[in-house]
Amino acid sequence: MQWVVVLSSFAASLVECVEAFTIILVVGVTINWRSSLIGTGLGLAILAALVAVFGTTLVTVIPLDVLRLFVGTLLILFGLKWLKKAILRYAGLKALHDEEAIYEHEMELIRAQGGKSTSQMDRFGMILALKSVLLEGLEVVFIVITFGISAAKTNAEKTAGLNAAALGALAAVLTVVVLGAIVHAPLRRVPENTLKFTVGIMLTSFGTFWAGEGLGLDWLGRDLAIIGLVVAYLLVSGGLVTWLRGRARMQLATSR
Amino acid sequence: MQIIRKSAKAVFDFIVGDARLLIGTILTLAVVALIIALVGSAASTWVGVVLFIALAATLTIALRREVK
Repeated sequence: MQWVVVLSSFAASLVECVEAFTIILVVGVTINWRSSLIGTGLGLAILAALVAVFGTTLVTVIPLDVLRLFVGTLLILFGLKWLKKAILRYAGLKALHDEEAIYEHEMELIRAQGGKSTSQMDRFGMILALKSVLLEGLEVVFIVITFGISAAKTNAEKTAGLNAAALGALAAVLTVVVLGAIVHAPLRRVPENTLKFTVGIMLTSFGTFWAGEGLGLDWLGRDLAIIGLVVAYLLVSGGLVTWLRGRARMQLATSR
Repeated sequence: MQIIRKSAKAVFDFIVGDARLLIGTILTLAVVALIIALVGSAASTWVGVVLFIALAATLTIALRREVK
């Protein structure tokens, strides 16, 4: 189960890291890299502290059954939110995330607010980078903590799950840093919507499984029931995308 | 008061983003908890199916509102 936690955490974190990277790149290119990297470093330090504090609190204070229901519910909510957005994008009812467009837009905003290239540490640039890392990173922290802890069957496994999820997130950060350093441009080729869809399915499936266990459900096939849930949610989501595309075409035809 | 309201909205948007998803999920889990309290874990397979169908319906209803 740990490899699933690592992979899911990696995929979820990759999407958020790409979005944060776009802003970090804008600040670095428009103002200077010193401000951008200091803001990024501060943001990452705050996020790591949040994982350590909240993760430890949840692991040590709350009983496993209660935790499973609570965290399972949060995973369902988060997963359904991501799944809904991804399905709308696949159906063409919501615009795909365009990192290049965001990059250009943010650059114009910075210039309009008087931000200009300088060799000194720029407070505005630093705060912008910090804010971006914190905003995108909070979702990662949420997933790392909830996913990492939920995978545990015993109290002893909670910390192991948390570490596995954190490892996945760290791998995603390093991947984006390396790719960003090579490409030196917005990472537009990362299939963001596919990743969000996949993570949405994982979060919803695992959330359903653990919330059910928290309520006292004895799933048929135990852990194998998760595979059944993943397949079921995939089929439902595929059906919803097809249905929504048909509806969108009908609405377009009617409006002409 | 406004700060509390703004913070609550920010947390809500962060975790859920759609009130229908929240209401549907909470209702589903409450109903499943009630069923389990009444029949025990004997009918777990069917209750699991009910749980899945109800959550899938929640997602469908939330999506349906987006195209209306």
